[in-house]
Amino acid sequence: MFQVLVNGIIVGGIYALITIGFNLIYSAVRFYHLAYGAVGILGAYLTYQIQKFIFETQGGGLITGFLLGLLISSIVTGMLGILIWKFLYRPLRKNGASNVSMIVASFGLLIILQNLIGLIFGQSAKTIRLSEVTTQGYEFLSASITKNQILILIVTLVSVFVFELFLHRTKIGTAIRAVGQNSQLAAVVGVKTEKVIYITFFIASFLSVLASSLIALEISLKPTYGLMLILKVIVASIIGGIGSMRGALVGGLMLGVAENFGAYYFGSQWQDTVAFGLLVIFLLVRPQGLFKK
Amino acid sequence: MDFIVQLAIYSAIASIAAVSLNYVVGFTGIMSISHASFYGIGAYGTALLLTKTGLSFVPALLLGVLITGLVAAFASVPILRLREDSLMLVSVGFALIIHSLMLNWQSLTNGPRGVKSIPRPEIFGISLTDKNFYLVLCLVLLVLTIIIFYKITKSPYGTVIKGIRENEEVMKNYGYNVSKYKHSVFVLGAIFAGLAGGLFASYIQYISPESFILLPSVFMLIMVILGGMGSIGGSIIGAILITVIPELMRFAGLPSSFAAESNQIVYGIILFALMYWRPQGLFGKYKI
Repeated sequence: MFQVLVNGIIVGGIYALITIGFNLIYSAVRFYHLAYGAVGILGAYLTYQIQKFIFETQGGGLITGFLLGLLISSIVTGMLGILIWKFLYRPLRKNGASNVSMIVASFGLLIILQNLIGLIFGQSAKTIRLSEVTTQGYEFLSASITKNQILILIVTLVSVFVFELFLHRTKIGTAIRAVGQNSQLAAVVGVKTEKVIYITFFIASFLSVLASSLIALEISLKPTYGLMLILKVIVASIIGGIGSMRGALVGGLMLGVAENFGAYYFGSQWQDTVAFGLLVIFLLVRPQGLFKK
Repeated sequence: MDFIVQLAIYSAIASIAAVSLNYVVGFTGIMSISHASFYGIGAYGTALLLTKTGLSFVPALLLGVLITGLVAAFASVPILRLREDSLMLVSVGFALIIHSLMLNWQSLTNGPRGVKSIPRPEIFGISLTDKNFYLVLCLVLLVLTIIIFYKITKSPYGTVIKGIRENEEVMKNYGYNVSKYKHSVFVLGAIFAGLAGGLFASYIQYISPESFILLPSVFMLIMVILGGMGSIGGSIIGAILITVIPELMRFAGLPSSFAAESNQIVYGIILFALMYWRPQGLFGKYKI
């Protein structure tokens, strides 16, 4: 039982991390960026590739390679996020596309990215390893935690902490929050909305790569995983209240825990059903989520 | 020739599905992404009745369609409580739950292995194992579908549902029971998706859950959006184009190992480009 809870919290932390980015984008531009899941997965593939390159040709360690890969790939993919807004979404919005149009276009982009990943990296499943042999986990209050999971916890906690500081203690962070709450009002008082949206897309895509790469430590990557991931993100985001940062944290954790308990009681094949059942229940009973008025 | 007949059969089946989806999405404005699930329920219903109970084709298809309608009636209760993008999301949730049931309810659906050796139909003593006869059956049902939806959308009832698409609140103020209209539209649309699914199962003779996951729903939506929201003729052209494009790309000489990916990339580009240049589709008047 305790073990299930621990696993749930660890996975939930990753969901929270990626959902924070999703909500950040949602509150800045007010539509569902569905391709976001595939962007994260593309980043995770990059991390995998860089780690492999460093390990095989440069003689670096697997963990060094992973952390370096994580950093480079997050920055590169963050840039890609900006390009997606600048050259794809923004022209659509300027054209007067409705929210439903945006979601459809974004789905188109998701399909394109997913298949590009398949073409570039191949369809076979890939797992990021941190050591060449499977290592023994640590015992902690009758639950065992693997080294991978510890790394996941550390990266998740540090990222969330740094992000919170950034959002509440810096000028850009304040501008991001202002645009998220009311972009027109923010523009009136002199916030450069367009610049803030660029930064938002960068940070969110950055976070999505961190999260996706961490996921790749636990399960194997597949090009089509972007769709499943974005659906999980949407579930977490709706549980917490779409657009809310605190909601993303709680929603992600709840989803992770619910999924793991679902798998524990009904068998792992029902894990996703539990997640989407949760989505349906929340949309019907409390569509505004936990943290929204 | 054989190949062309096969493409024609696929196009006809896709057209039935697309026209019925257009009725839900284009005419009434219910943005559902669960149509392939109803298509799948129709396919599974018909296939299981044919293989497990030994019913003949016509009753099996009718029962399969009836089951689809019943499931849709239940599903419509939660789905239709929402609107626009939240409705899209809950319909996606529903589609994934149905897929997961097909995959995991092993005793009924045979799980990921799917249902094999589904018999081709026999109607009034004529065996339709011949592809040409099967094409005739599909075309007859397609024409029937077109006539039914054409009549409905031109009727006073059709005017009401188009009114609901344009402005739900106004229709409520006029005293129409909007929710009742939406439920009946949703169920009828699903019934015809089930019909298309039953035809598909009996033609292809083997079905597995993979044929009815989320992407097929999206492809149906692409057919409708490409052809034009609220245009029956447009949906048929959309269905034919989306069915034929992969075959054309095969002739373009791409290595077969890239075929699946490049097809889907083309679909993705179509979706994005349509939203940019022509959100009303090729023949539609109504922008989404």
